[in-house]
Amino acid sequence: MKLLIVDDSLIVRNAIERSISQGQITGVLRAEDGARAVALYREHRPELVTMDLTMPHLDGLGAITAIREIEPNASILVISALNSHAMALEAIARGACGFLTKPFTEREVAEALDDLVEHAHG
Amino acid sequence: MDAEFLARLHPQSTVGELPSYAVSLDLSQKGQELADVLQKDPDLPGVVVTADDVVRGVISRGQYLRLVGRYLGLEVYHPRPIRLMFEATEVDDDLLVVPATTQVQAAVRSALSRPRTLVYEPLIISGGRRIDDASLRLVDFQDLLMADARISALRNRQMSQILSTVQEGFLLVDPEHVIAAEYSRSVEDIFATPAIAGRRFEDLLREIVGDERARLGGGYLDTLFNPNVIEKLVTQINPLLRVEATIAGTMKHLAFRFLRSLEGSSIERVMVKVEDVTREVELAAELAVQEERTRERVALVFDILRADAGQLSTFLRDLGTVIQNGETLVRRRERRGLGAYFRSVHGLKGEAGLLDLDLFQGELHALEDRLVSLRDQLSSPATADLYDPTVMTPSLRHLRQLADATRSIIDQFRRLGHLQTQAADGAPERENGANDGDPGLFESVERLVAELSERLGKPARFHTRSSEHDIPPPHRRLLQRILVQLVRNSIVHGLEPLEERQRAGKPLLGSLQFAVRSHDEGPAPGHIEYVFQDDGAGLDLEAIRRRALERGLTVPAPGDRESFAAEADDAVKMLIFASGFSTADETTRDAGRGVGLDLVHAAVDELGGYVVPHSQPGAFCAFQIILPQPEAS
Repeated sequence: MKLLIVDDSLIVRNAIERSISQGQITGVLRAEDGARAVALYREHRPELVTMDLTMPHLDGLGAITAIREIEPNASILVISALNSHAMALEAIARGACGFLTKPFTEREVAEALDDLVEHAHG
Repeated sequence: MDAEFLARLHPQSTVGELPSYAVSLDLSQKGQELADVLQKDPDLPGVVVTADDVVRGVISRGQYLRLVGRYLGLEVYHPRPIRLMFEATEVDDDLLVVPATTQVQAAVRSALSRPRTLVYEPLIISGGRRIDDASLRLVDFQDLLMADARISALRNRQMSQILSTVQEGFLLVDPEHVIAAEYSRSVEDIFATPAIAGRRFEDLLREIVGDERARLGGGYLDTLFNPNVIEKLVTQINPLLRVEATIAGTMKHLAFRFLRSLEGSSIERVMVKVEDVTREVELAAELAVQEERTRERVALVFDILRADAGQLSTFLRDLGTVIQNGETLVRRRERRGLGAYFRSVHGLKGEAGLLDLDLFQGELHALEDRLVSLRDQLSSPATADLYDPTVMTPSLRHLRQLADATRSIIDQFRRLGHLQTQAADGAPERENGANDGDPGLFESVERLVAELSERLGKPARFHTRSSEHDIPPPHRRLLQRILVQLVRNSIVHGLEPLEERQRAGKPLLGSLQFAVRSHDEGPAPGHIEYVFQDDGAGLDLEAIRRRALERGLTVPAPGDRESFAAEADDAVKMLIFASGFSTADETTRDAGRGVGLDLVHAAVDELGGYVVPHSQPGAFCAFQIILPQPEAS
């Protein structure tokens, strides 16, 4: 399975990539904004996506909508600071499968990715 | 039928506890013999049939009656071996055999899933693992149904007992967010609302947590009913994890947790667990306060151990006066005297800094904040009516607590013998008794320089060739207060950032110098001159002029002729002593109040002296303080 990591912070992208313990994730793509994420998604169709919400050039909510339009079964995990409950619920309503709040530990990301892989299989 | 077994049933009863029958006939026996057996025991649901002691199957009462009920059935089957009847039954491979340990409700589910015509066939239970075990027994389907009904009733009763006794509030909502009839009694207590079944969850919430939270709660329920969502991965965004609620006029804290209730793979309902956690939240808050107190006390102990005992004693006495004056201002709601009070608080903050009393310094800074806002209020007629000095009360109270704690710690130390010197209030002052006065003045200034220069990233050192003996005791307290302000001023405003010093070719280590000179003759006989000088950027006359204009002060214009220009500059320099004057753009613990130099000026003035600033751009800034010799010396 391929994982697309979307976050405007290099540090966060690296931290998420470092936390991957899933043997099933064989390829990693990285995007620093929503527009680039959608373009990469269209080209590579990764099964799993982690998505930040506040980013330049198309925010996370917009990117979730666009990706779900391309693939209604995309497994998207939002990894973002919980600035507002309303925004978090909106992300889920638009098609995210889960929400992990920043700051996170590598273990939390690893476990969430396990759940996401399982969900993508189911 | 023996219905006594029903009374012995319990919610977890198994089929092994039901009446069962183990009558077996060999396939070679006549049909008449089967008829006799069935007639003798009207409860017998059927017989197990064997051939050469090997179990082959079952002929139920139902199958027997169906066969003999046919035209000439009795005549055909009764005289012949029951093998004939057995071969005519429809039950070949559909035998339902379950272990005796199967729970009744599970057995009913299996039995009901049989083909429609065979639903009423008896159930076969086996004590062993193999179907052809000799322990096979038959259970009547009707007994099974009766047992199931009984067990359901028992479970319902148990459930309602549980629901009426658990402390936690449990309720179930359907995909439309409607609350189901089964909910725990506590829910009504927690919400202080009876009969909630049939209402929408959000509507119930809205009354106690308001529109916004209720809408979020409803949105979160939708999230849980959304099959695309991974339940574990949304618990972090539960908007009702801790929520303030107003119930029957009282503020409470509630905690909501949600759990999907699955039927197969579809999400039928969501279970909501609600708890009143008001007590926990209050305890946590109390604990936080306790921890803060403990932390403070430990910090105080360190502060006290570091501080010079004599200076600490003086500080505590001054603090007592400041607190008392503050309380008087609050009580009398006095507006006059606010400026003077402000200066005394600022001076005391400086002393706290000098003694490294961080906690006091921080709280005095907070008190200053309050005073600034009060002063601002008074400065505009529109807000002057709102003047409310009670905003100082929390700070004053905290200062008093700190002071009391400090005294009690000092007492404890003294009892333990750790503090040899007199340190508490009322102890005789050393400047009168001891001959060499306060040996800590320069040392504490050095410490302040070290602390500030590290905090602000501007390395600096304090030098003096003078001895503290040169300072008459009555001047010492004053100089201590003045030096705090001047040191602060120099490091914050005077010394340039490192890069700038490097560019200017100046030594990176800033220098702060202090000198004492007695004047028995010359321009000021009978006076003592103190000079404090730094090697920083000097006074920024332009910035002072600009800021003074902004504040509406009278600013001498730079003259056309050179001599006038110099005079004008001297006058501008004096502006720095105006009350509230600062060129800093924001207030920090270290600078920006514009009280420091004002305080120096006022204090020097009080002793009948005067202070003159000197400055050269890019080179230095110096303050010359001239005080009359005290009469005693």
